[in-house]
Amino acid sequence: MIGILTDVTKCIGCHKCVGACVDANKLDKHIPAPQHTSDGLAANRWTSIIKQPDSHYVRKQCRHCLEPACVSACIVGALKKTKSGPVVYDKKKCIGCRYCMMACPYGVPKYEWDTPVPYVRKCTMCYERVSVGKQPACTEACPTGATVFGDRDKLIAEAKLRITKNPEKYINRVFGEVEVGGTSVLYLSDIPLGFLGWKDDLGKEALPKLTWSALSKVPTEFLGMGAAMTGAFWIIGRRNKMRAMKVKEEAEKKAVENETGDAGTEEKGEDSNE
Amino acid sequence: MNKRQMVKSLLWLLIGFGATSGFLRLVHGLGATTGLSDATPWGFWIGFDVMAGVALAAGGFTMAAVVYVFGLEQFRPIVRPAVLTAFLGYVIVAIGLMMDLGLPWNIWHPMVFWQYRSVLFEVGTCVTLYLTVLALEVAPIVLEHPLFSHPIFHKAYKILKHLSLPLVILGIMLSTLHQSSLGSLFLIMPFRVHELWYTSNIYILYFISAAGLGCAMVIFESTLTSLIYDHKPRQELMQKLGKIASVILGVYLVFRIGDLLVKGKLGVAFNGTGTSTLFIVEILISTIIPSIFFNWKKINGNTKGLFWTAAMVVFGFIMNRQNIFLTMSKKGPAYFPWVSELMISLALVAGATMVFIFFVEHFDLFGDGAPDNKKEIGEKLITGPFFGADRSFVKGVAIFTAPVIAGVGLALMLLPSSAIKGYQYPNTPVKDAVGWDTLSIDGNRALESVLFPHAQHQQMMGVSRDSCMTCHHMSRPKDGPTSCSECHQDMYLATSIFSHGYHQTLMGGNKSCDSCHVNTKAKAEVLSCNTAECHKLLPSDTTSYLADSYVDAMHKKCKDCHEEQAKQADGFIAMGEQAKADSVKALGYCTACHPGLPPESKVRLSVTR
Ligand code: SF4
Ligand code: SF4
Ligand code: SF4
Repeated sequence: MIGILTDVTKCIGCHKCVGACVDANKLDKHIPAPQHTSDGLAANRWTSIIKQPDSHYVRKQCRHCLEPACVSACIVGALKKTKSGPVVYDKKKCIGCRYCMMACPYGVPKYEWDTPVPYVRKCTMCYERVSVGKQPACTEACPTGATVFGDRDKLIAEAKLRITKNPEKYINRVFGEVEVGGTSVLYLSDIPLGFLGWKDDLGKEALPKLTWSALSKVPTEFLGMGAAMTGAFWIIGRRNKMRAMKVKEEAEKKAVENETGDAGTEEKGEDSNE
Repeated sequence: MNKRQMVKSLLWLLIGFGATSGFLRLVHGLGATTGLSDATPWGFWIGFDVMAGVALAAGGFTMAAVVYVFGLEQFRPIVRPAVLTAFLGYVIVAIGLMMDLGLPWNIWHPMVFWQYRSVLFEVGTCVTLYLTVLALEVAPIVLEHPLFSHPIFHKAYKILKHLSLPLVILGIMLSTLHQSSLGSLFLIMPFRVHELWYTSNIYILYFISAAGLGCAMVIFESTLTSLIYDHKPRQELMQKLGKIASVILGVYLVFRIGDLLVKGKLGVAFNGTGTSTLFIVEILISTIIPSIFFNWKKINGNTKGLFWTAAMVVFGFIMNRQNIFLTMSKKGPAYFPWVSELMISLALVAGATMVFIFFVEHFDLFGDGAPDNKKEIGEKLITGPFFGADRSFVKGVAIFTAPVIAGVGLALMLLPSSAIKGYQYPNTPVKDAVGWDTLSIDGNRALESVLFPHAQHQQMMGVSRDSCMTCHHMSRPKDGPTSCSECHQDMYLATSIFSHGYHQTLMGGNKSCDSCHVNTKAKAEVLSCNTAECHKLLPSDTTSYLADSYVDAMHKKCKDCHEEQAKQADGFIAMGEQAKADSVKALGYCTACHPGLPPESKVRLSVTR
């Protein structure tokens, strides 16, 4: 499992990674106007530098969650978590519902609002580069080693080592180790990084679990409702039948109606079994 | 014009307006025609067309359950309109969704690429299946029409009639799932959805509220149709239905408040913020007040009282479905739906109403296909009112074309310019640098100015035409050295600075076309500006001139030269002039111009912007 480790204390805000990403992925060079993107990310900027007080620079990019909310949300499986780690996008499948954008706890996927044939765009951890053994363009371009590429477990070990060596320099936490079920892109920092996501503390639980707790009940709900309705129909139908028996005059008429009704019950029974 | 024609004209007007907006939406894309942005990927269409549309269609399955399953025969006359409303509601959902999807022509993809772990997949599947079921439930109404007297139709009709009970039950099952799964959509956004609306049981709330709302919607729409068609409203039935609704709404209230109590969040509802007020208003008008009114003799005893109470529930739950979006935390600009979004939604509702009216006028919507009705309908058909004109088809078209055209015209007038012309990038106009010997350059006035020692550069490079032109590479006609912001007008976007009109006048009108347009047959073909010996300094491939964005222009101009200078450092070191070497080297760093950057950014900017 591969990953990226960004050490905020080492970043000098030179934007080299941003430029490298733009070049490597052939993104449009228009600079996204700040009023459109509060975090600097846009359909044509897959990574950005967010300026923080006291000369802090934090690079934002897709976190490549281990259990990505975007992937679980996607209606057609256009977003996929690959075995090696990157979360990639297949534009041929996408229908443009933008549920992934709503689901991502970091607000990473962005949309091409300016065209009539728009796609979702986000960092792919340079999937094409890494699958041929190269490293991502951004980590390669970084002049200070603030953002490095490697095996996720080794990066976590490295991060912890840096913390033990310089405990007063860092917040004692590898950001992304356990957040929302763990992410492939990790951070070390001396300032809180809550602004990258929706909330300071996103919790340890993977978001797809929240949905699954409801979704797993669906078959029960479906068949249960079918059974309940069939049952109700049968009981009520029977009660009406009994009542009808008492009324002499209409007895014949009603008996016929109820027979057809009974036939319906059987058919419907099969239905709910399906 | 009578009452009905007025209503229909208004509907046609809305359809004209909406159709224009919808067309422009497909041509220019979402950014140009909606207020949606990366900060608000889901807006009014999802909140209203989809969320509220589905909820409002709940009358179909509730009424079907009441009559077919629970055997409350007295409600049978309302079943058909309710099922038809549900069908039309889902058609609205489907078309509204098509408008909202970025790639609507891929809408069939979910049927091929199954993703059972996605809630949206469940929603999509249920919509498709339920729409089919509803179509089958509506079909008999159509097949009863004398037009379909062929035996094949008759057979189909019989089969459908036989299947009606299983279809109804399947419909109820699908509705249950998907009313609730619309709530489940929000489960994955625990950080965005406000805590007063977020609960892990949201799908239960959505289901119960849909059932209650369904009853209210039936009251609302049957009263409305009886008003338009001067029928006598079925007062007693409606009263009973109101009571059923109030029970369901009561259950909903208990669940909603109980859930907040258990989570300990009830306090948030009364903390006096705008959001809490919104919550209280929503609960009051969607549940508390209506459930009292539905049981209050004074109000439920008359048609008006019932109608307005039902309307209150309908409005309350539209509000409920919208509030979850309104109160969502977001990063970035605020969202407000554009006219185009509102009008497309309104037009969809208008279109659905029109079809409903068509059914009322042409089919036996309120009966149950009794043979006498059939004859009457047949007669109506022969006089052939077209979508509402109470006269002939041609006259109908003639009358209702006017409102459609008016709608189109209104749309063109009221829509924002980007919706008509296409996407427009947001501008960030550049303001001129200020100062003389030292210029403060801060194009967008972001208080991050670069202090440019103009006098020092002049001194260094000497004041001559050529040296000035290193930076002032082009000047406006009859101007001295023109300042950068005259052409590089936008902070982030390139600006087209070629003025065709100016050249035309200057060169003497039409007779001079061929001085630039070399081949007069193909007018578009243009000689490059510098081969015509007019602008020798322009790049040779320039035909229409785009000036770089301000940021780009500044960086290019300064960086290239500075990097050139910085390269001399090695030479100075070789000559043993360390101090000079250091000073030229510093020119190559970001900090040379941007002193706000940390001192350690001693890195050369080359690819970056
Ligand atoms: S950060 Fe967002 S876009 Fe990236 S993998 Fe996680 S959920 Fe998906
Ligand atoms: S917008 Fe595309 S990638 Fe995103 S959830 Fe919808 S179909 Fe999937
Ligand atoms: S990993 Fe690749 S795609 Fe992602 S930010 Fe870096 S360069 Fe861009």
